[in-house]
Amino acid sequence: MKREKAQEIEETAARWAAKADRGLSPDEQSALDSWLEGDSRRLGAYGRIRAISAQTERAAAFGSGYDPSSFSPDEAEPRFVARRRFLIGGSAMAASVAGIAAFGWQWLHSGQQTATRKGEVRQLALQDGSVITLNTESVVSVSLTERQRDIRLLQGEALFDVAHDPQRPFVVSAGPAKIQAIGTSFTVRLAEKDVRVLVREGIVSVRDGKTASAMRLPANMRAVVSFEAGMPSNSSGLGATSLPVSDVHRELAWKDGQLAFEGETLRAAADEFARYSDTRIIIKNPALAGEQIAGLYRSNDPVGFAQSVAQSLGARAVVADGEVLIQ
Amino acid sequence: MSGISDERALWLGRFVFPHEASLRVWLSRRPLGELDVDDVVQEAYAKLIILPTITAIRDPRSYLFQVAKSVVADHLRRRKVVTITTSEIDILELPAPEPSIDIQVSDREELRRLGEAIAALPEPTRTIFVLRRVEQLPQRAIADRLRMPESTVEKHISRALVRVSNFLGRGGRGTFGASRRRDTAAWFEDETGEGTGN
Repeated sequence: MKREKAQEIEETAARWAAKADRGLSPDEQSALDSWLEGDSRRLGAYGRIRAISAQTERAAAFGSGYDPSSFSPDEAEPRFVARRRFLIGGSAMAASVAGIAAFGWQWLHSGQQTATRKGEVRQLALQDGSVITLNTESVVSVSLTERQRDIRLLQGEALFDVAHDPQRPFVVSAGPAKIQAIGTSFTVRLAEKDVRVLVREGIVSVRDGKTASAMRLPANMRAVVSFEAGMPSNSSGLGATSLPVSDVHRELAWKDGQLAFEGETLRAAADEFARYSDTRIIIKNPALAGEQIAGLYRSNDPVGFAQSVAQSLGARAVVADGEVLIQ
Repeated sequence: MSGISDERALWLGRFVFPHEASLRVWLSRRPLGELDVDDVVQEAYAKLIILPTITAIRDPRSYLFQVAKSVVADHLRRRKVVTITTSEIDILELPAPEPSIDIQVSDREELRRLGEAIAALPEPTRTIFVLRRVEQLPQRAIADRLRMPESTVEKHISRALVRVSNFLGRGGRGTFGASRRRDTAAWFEDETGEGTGN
């Protein structure tokens, strides 16, 4: 049988969308349903044209004075603002606000220690004006004196937005590493085998507590300090690498309750989700686990992530108690 | 219900369709086997429609590209004679996902393009479509007013939808590439030509 051309499918889909626009009779509805059950492209073409049809509803914003023959783009603005807003914007906005419900805000006083639960991201305001954004399952303690601002990252990961104060260096201790800044923005992640420092703005100095050697780390650079190797003078233990700005943004997606992937394997992404949720993502098929994925996802929704990814990879997501299986 | 909810259609229109033009450019430069760009686009939409939930998708653009990539990869894998050349492996490279906030075309800009797309319709399709979408008259009322059969009105609505979708989705005048961020363009250099229309 000759394969139906995409163009023909699109035209038929548009005819159905025009009928749906005036309302379908029950007979028409079942005829549409059986048409859609054919080639999978039909559903795609019909959904696409319905999506476009829905977008064109926004033309109501032009108002009854609209004359297409003399349409000037600039006229559209005031009328649109004055008239009705488009529905989906509101609901999508509400959804994204719900997505960051795990966020909190608190003042952190000197001598205080604070921790986040799994999946929680919290911002801590210090008296000096600095802000610490604490990622999932992290512990930090703060000690502010007149001469120094001492922060200890005891577990997990944090972003430090440091208020400028040349009289009081801001020093973060994490495992063997000490990171010093005057006014800048950087993250420190205390991992199992190493400490990772990523600078977003300004310059920090990174050094190991045992040896005295230090390294200056400018913006968009990452340094990795290995627990085992201590602080070598060359790059074998304290390696610094440069990152594109887009990667730096991606690495910081967690502060907005999101996880960003760009070609990571599904396995690596599942491990990343495990930091934020007790719901485990399980992939038994090694070929599937090795698939590369991309996208921006809500860090507290491993099930939604698994369903989306399974769909795009032609796999299935099976939700069970405390876990979701991609197969 | 026939396959697609109003809510999903709105989501597709608002968050996915604006990226279709650049997806088409991207696909046109890659080996697609026996598929053509339209096939891949339709299959990709089909996959987005049958998703049980979309709440986890924060970056529809890169998700759309990923789904399209998987459509092509599945097709290439299923071919009887498998000759994976270097260029075919290119398809497995992902386009740079960008934070949607940076590439989201403003509401006003989208509305402006919609106005242009409607203005570009031939008559009498344009008058009929304006009565339906701007004046929001039902199809039957339009038929009464213009003294034509309802089926004719329906035909023009259908034609208008195809033309508007071509104008906006296939890079008619004013495509969606203009607000791309330069720093990510380099990562995916062969996409920089998009947005000039073709």
